[in-house]
Amino acid sequence: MTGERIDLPQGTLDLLILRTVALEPQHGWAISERIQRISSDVLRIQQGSLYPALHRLERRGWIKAKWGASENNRRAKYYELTKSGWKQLEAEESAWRKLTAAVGQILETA
Amino acid sequence: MLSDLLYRLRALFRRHSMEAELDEELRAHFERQVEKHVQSGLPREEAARRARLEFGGLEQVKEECRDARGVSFIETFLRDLRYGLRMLQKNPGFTTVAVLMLSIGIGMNTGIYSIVESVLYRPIPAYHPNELVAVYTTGQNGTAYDSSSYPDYVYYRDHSHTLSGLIAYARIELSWEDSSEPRLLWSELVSGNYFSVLGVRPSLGRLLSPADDHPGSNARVVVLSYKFWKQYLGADRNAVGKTLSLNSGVFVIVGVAPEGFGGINLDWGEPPAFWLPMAAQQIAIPGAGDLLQMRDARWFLMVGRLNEGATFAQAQSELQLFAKQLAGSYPATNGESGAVVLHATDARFWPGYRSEVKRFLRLLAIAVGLVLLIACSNVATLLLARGLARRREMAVRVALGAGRGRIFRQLLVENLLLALSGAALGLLVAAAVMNWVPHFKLAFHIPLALDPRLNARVLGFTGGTVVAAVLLFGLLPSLRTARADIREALSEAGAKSSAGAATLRLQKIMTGLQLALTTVTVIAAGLLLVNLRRLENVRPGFDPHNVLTVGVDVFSRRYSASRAFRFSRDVLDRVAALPGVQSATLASELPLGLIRSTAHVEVAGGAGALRQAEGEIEFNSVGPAYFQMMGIRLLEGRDIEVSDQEGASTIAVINRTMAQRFWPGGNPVGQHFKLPELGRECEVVGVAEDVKVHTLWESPAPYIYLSALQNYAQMRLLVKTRGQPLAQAEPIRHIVAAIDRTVPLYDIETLDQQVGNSLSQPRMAAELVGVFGLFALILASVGVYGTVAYLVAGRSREIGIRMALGAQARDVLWLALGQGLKIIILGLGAGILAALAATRVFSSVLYGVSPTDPLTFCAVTLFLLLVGVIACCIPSLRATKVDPVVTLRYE
Repeated sequence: MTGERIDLPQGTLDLLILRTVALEPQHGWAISERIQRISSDVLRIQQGSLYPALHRLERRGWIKAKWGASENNRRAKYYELTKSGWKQLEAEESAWRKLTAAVGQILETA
Repeated sequence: MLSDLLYRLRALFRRHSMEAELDEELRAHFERQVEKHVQSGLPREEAARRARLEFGGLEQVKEECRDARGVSFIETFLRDLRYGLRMLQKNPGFTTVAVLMLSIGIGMNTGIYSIVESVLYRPIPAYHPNELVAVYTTGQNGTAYDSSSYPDYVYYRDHSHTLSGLIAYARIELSWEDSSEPRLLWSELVSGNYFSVLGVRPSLGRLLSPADDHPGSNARVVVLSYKFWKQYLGADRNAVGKTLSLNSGVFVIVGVAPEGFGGINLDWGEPPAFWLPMAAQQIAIPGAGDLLQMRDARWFLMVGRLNEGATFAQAQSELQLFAKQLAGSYPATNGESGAVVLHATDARFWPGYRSEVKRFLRLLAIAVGLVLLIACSNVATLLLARGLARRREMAVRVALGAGRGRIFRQLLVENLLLALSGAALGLLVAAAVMNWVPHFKLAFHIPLALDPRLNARVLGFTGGTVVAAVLLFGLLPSLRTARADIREALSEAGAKSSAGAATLRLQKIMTGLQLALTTVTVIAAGLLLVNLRRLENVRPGFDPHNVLTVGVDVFSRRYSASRAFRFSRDVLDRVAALPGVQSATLASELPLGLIRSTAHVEVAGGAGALRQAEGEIEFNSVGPAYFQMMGIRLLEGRDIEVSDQEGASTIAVINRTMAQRFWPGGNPVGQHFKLPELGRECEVVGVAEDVKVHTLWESPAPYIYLSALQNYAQMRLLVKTRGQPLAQAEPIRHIVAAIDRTVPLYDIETLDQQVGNSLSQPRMAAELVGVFGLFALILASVGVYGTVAYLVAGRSREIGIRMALGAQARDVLWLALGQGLKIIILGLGAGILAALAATRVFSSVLYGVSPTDPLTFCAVTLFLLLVGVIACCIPSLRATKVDPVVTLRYE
């Protein structure tokens, strides 16, 4: 619990989830752990928002879920990216890069 | 899109497994989190606590997942439904009261609407009824709507381009002579294209075709109604080709109309049993001559079908043009005539008559609408009180993660369940209202063929009423309950909080509103009752007791005038000789009947010049000793006598008003007047007192009595009996049958009945609105009682303190009463003001009383005040029994 944590801007959670499951199928706990670890504990995701987001993305058809055995041989629900999920990820990624670039430019020059 | 749908469907139908999966997924997450904390060195118990804290509300997460899945609408609705049912079961008292109130409100509205629907909105049972238009002749004698002559019809039919077809028909009564005694049945004389233009298919054989009504066609054919075929011919599949004897003519059955087809008109009697083609006119309407050739005999109604692409307005202007052409060609008969087109659905009644029916229905609709409003506001008050009681439940649910929106939706579903149960029970109430229909038919001067049913449109109306009711009684209480403040609700003092006070205020307003609406309804009922009472006390001017009336249809026999007079005298002589019969006479029009026979009158002026009286004067043809038998006082001269017969000089008795109008100050006996249309001059032999002719609320008008033995008219036998009048019906039937077996009798009833029937409209209005008012009163009393009881209960602590400080029972009573009285007085006041405005609406059905009759207003107000005070007193008296020790200890 070191370092400062920041709140996620609206809409970025979906992007982070899509990015995370793009590498390989993941279950919910692993997704939140991975985001936390990679962001060096800056981003911490509440279960209260993670699971509704997963269900929402599944409904949109961007990820799909299947049950499988986890690392410790327990049943776990794995989420993986679908074809339309890939497209969505690409679109959101490029939108995000454009946004951060633009915001960065303003912060530097203005 | 597809994945979305599949997901939702899977979620809906595999709800249980998906719930289990969600549960498992979240539990796995939780366990992993605990593991993680344990591995980082925390004791297991502390690790679990930490994980739980991080996790937040499990139910809340689940709820949000369900929302995210997007199935929640249907799913939560089903769940709300189950929950609602449980809640309603848990409070059987509340549920019963609310459902009963709603069933009364919704049921009465459904019942009245079923009558409205059958009268005003039921489409004509024809192909594409929206394309049908009705055409009337206008103008002659200044009438707005008149039937049309057959030659005019033919002209319209053969020239119109806007109409693809035009039919003519006349409602008639036919004497069916195949059974043991002749029977008069409503029928229609129709043009040959009648069924093809309406687009009606036979259920057996064929229907009429234009070939059947070719003038001079000797083929006598008849189409039967489904009902007649079933009732009298036992649904004989071989009926086609058999014959019937109608008005002494032999007709071959060619087919049967489809089930439920009862023609276009709803007024003038029952749906037709027979349809005859125009070629049979002289048999169907005997004695009237060849109507198909007479341009001045307006006997027929017309209905046409708009051509494809033609508009209503085009048809209107085209037919008006034709009417103008006819006026040019035949100035004597058509000079002042025009044509007017109506939508056929609006012409199922005689147009002028429809507005009277509508006015009466509007009165009933307003009254039942008020009952529904009162019931709804009553249920709303109950819900508000229950909402306060349920604040803790709501607060707990909010604390467990339920959204306010969800709670609100769930409450609305509960309310919907209440309203639906009310509607289901209300269908019984509706059936009771519909059973009133025989009454309803009597309420109008013209018999109506009504057939109210719970069809799709009526049930749709009930559904709409349910939704409206839920919005009316459920919206506000649900919003308030769902908004309840958690902390306040969970604390002990919740009930006395500011939210409690606001709810109380709303309850008071609702109760006041109920009282105001009840005041309007009860004042309306009061006015109608006073109206009825006054009319019942009106003396008709004749003595209706122990008089039997029998319609004798001599017209269908096509008797000559002399033959008819001889027949009448025979019947009178033999009937008068019956034991139990005091005397017998004739009349062509019954007192307080509907039919008017009118004629122009010319009176010899001072120097022998004739002056025509303005307008037409009504006349009746009555038999010997009519005035003596009816107990009508003769002011001058003599009664009609047997010697006033064919061949003797024509005489008349006139009424007092006519005498005063034409011979003011002088004695009319011995004077003469002319009836040009009847081609006769009459000598006045007597002056009779004015009597009520059509209604008990009319003012006197000039009236002429001719001798029935000199003026050939349809006749009714009037028989004064010593005992029960109806006991003479059979002997009279035998006498008529002995003279001519084929003369049909109709409308056998007592004069008392006839007088009673003439009051059926005001009586029905008073009964129905009275019943509605009674229910309104019961509902409002319950409302006042409940609210005051609630107010007093809320202040029991205060009352306890006051009593502990030495207040007397009387002071406490006043304190409690004061609360209720304020509501009552404000409610009554608002109600009186509303009633002053509202009763104007039905001034047209109040004949005997002013719509703002101060006596009725005062009496109703006092009565309601009394009922209100009693409703207040019961809970207030209970307040004085409060034991200060008990109340204060409870705190």
